[in-house]
Amino acid sequence: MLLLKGVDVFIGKLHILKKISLHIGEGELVTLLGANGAGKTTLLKSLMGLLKVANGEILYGRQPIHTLPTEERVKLGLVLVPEGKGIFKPLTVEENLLLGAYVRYSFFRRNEIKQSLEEVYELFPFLKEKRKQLAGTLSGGQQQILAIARALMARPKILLLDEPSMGIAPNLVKEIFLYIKNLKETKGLSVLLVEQNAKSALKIADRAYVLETGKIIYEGDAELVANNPEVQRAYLGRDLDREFPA
Amino acid sequence: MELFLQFLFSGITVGAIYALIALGFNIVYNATSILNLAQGEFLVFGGLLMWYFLEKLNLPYGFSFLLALGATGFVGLLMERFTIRPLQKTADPLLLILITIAFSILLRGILMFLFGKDPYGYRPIDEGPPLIIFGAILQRQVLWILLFVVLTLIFLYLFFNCTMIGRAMKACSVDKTSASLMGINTSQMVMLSFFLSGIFAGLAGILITPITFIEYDKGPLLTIKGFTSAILGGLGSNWGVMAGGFLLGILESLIAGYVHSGLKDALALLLMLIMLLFRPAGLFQSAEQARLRKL
Repeated sequence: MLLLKGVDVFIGKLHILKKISLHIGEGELVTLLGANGAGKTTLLKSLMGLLKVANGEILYGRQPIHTLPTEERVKLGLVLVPEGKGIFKPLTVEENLLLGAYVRYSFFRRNEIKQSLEEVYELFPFLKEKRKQLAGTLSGGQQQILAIARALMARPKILLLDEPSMGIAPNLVKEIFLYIKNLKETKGLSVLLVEQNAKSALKIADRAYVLETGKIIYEGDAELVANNPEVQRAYLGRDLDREFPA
Repeated sequence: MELFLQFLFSGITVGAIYALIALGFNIVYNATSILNLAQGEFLVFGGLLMWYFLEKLNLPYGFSFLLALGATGFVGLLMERFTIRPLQKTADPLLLILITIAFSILLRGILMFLFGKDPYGYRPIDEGPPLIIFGAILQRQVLWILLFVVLTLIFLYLFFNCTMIGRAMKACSVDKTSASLMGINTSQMVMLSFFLSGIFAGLAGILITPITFIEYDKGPLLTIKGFTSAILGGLGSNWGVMAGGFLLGILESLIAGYVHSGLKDALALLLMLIMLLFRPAGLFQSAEQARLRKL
């Protein structure tokens, strides 16, 4: 469904992503792991068109999208929940959610959007309670949930999540991950999950990619990845006992 | 008391005009972080165009009104497409502001070429005798001006709180990148902001011309007054800048009445300096609020 072919991305003169190739199938939950500075966020930004792709192609279905502006990609169904949430703090919670449905909005379909809003409220009741409050007054974790809920308002086909568990209480993280998995299974949503919380991510993912200094160094089933020493070295830090046996 | 009321009425009249100009400033500022210093020329353009439709072509009042309003909006839109948009991604905001000055000079030149240097005026909306309130004279046009300001406020409230496109504009002014991640075409929002600012300035011109007359070179001073109002109220908030407009108008008129009429224009410049030095975020918002708005 989404296919990257030999993508190179530069920020200024720095070569951040080097010949990245990956794919996400329909209804697949793929997680992208990697240490800080490996280029995960850069990859998501390039997918959304916030950064320019220097070489290579991004195909959505069969359509090349790497030259489209960001808003066109959103219209196609590619929605990003950015790191640091990107919510509109001086706007109310409800306004934030409605803006999530911006691409679906037309005067005649406004009831449909109201319905989506109710669905989201049912899922996260605290959002309904606080719908008239400014989004900036929510706690960090609540803001994160708002950002995810807002992305869902767009009815995405591919959801890109950048560190969704950052700053959220562990029980909520579990809930959110279960919810994402549920969405994938019931609605056929494809998900690309970028996560620090590797263990939880690998638990719900179908496949995983491991990124190291701009290159994909490993690709495989989530279960295999979880037990792979290479991955542990790249992601969880070096296993000194194995590298330098006593 | 009569004198005070009289000064107050005239202050409210010009204040309403400043408020509309300041509103145009603010809408463009929110969408682009630049100042459109051609606001005053849009006002003059609106007034002169109204005269042309009404007196030269003898079109009905309401029709001329809408036509002149649409035309100023359209010029604002053209200005954005041809001067701002090609440069917006690459150019420094200061350069863009200079471009708006260049555009204002161009527009003023065209207006002089088309209308000459004479002042123009036409009949007010309502030609009945002025009202006398506690001995002070209140022209009927002033009531119309206030009515249109109230309508503008209602429009703004509904537009920004009840329509998707208004919300999208707000989102753009808060955070452009996040707005584009919502699928909002930010460049269209910039265009819309110039269109709206053209319309508000045009509205001010159409309404004020029957009272004060208007000639081609009235623009720059009105731009300064509108900008001062925006600074007074605090750029960023639509309600704040409109309040700033009325405040400046009333202060000016009181100073002109009680002290010396020559001080009228100096007051705006002085206030602008003082505000920029000591309270750049405006009277009605703290520096923090202003920052939150732009982040």
